[in-house]
Amino acid sequence: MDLRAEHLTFTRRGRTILRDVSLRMERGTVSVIIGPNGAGKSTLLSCLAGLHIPSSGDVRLGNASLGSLTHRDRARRIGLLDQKADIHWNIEARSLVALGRLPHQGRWGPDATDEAAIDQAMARTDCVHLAHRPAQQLSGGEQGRVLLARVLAGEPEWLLADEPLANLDPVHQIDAMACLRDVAASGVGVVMVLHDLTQAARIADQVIVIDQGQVAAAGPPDAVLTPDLFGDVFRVRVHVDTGPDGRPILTPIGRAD
Amino acid sequence: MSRAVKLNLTLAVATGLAMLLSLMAGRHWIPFDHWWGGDLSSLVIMQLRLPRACVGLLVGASLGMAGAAMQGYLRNPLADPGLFGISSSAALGAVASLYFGYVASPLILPFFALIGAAGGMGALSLLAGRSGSLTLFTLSGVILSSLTGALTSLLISLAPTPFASSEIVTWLMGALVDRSWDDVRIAILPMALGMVALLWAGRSLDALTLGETTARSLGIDLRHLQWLMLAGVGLTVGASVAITGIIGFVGLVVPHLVRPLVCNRPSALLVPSAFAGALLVILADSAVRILPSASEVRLGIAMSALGTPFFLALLYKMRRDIA
Repeated sequence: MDLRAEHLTFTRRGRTILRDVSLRMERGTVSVIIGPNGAGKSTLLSCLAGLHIPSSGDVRLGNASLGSLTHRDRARRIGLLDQKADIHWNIEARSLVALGRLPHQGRWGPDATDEAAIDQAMARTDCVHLAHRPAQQLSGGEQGRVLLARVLAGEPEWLLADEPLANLDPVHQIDAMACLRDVAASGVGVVMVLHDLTQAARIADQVIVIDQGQVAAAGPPDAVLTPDLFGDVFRVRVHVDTGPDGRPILTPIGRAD
Repeated sequence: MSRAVKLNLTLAVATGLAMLLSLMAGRHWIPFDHWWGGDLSSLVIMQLRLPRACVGLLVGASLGMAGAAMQGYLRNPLADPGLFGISSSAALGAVASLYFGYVASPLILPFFALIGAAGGMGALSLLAGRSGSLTLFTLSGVILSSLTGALTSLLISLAPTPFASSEIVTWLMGALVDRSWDDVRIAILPMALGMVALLWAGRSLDALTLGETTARSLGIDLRHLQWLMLAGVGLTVGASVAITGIIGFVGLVVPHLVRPLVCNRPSALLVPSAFAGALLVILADSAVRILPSASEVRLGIAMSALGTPFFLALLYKMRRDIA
C-alpha cells in the first residue's frame, strides 16, 4: 500500500503554494523532503497527512483518496509529528504518549491493548523512566523522544514528521535517526522534512526536492543530490565528502551566485 | 480505586455535606431534627433553602465545568466561561425583561435570559462560521461580549424609573436569594445537556494539549469540537445566568484549584471542577447568609471579592512565565 500525491495543487488566499506535485512513497522506506525555506515542504507534509484539502489533484492511500476516509480512520493510519508541537498543559509524559491512542480507543479511555502499545512505544524511544515526569519539565531532547513515542503509540502505517531532529543534540539526533530507520524497517512508511543535507543523504531511500511549490527532483540520494541541484535549488556550493562509513557528508561552503 | 475516582468521590461527599450545612445555616439556624416537623421550619427548609441549595449546586457545577472546558479549549489558564459572551447575552435578555417591566410571572425573566443566551450562541456561530478556527471563535466571543455589555449599559441608562435601573443593577450582581423549585426546573435540562456536550468534548480537549495541528492529525474534528463547546458553554452558562444572574470567578478559580490534583489533564478536570464549583458556590452562599450585615451581601459581589485576590495571586505566580 503506497501513499501518492497525484497532480496535487494547493492554493491559499490566491497564492499557489504547491503546483502539480506528483509523488509516490512506499511503506517500509524513508522518504525525505528537502528544499529551501518557503518552498512548500511543510504544506506538502500537511497535504500528505490529510490536514489540508488539495485545491486540485488528490492524495491517495492505496486505492482510497485521503478525503474519503473518516477523520478517525485517517488518524489511525497516518501519524503526524508536528514541528511546532508545544506542550500546553503540564501533563505526565505517559499521559502525553497516551494521546497517540486517541484514534484507537473507545469513549471510556484506554484498554489493555492501548496500554501495551503505550508501553512499547515508550520503550522504543527510551523514555520509560520519564513516564511520571511532568512533560513541560523535560529537556528538549526528552520532549522530542516523548513526542516521537506519542506518534509510535498510535501504531500508524505512515509516520510523517516535520523536522524531527530540530532541537536535538547530536547524540539524540543519531538516536532519533536510528529509531526512525527502525520504524521504517518494521514496515511503516516514513516521510519527513529535513534541513540537514547530510542527515537527508544518510537516512533517505528517496529524496524529494521541493522548490517553489514544485518537485525539482525525486529519487535515491546518490542520483538526486548533485552539485547542479544544490546550485539551482539551494543556491549554494556544497562540498561533498565520503564519511568513514562510505556515506556522503555534504557541507554547504558558499553561495553559488 | 484510581486517583480520579477517589478525588471525585471525596468532592461529591464534601458537596453533599456542604448542602446539608447550607440547609441549616441562615439568619435562623434550623437543626436537623426540625426539618420534617411540618411546621414553619420545615417549610423554610423545603420551599426556601432546599431549592436555593439545589440552584447553588447546579450553577456551581455548570460554571466550574464550563470554566474547565474553556481553559482546556483555549489552552489558557486565564480563560473564563464569560469570555464567549454567552453570559452577557443572557444577562442582556434578562435585563430587557426587567427594562420592559415584564414581571407578570417569575418565569419570564429566566425565559428572556435563555432567549438572550440562544441569541448569543446563534450570533457566535454566524460570526465564527464553520472554520473551526479558535482565534476567530474567541475573538467573536469577545466582540459579542462587549456589544451585549454595551447594550445592557444602554438599557440601564435609559431605564424608565430609578427603581427599574436599581432593580437591573441589583439583578446583574447575581445571587441565590428567593430561588424556587421553578428555577431548578427551568435550568436543570439545559444544564444537563450542556454538561453532556462538555464531557463529550473531553478527549478532544486532551488532544489540544499538543496544539491544533496535532489534534487534527489525531482525528479530532475542530469544527465538531467548536459546536460542542458552543452548545456546552452556551447551555450551562446561559441557564446559570438565567436563574442567578452573573456570578463571576467560579469558572476561573475552580479549575485552577483542581488542576494539580488531576495532573493537569484537561478531560480529567471536567467532573471534579463541577463538584468543586458546586461546593464553592454552596459554601459561599451559606457564608453570605450568615454574615452579620444589614441586608444580605449579593453572592456575585462576594464571589468577585473572593476571586479578585486569587486572580492577582495567580498573575503574581505566573509573572515569570508571562514576562
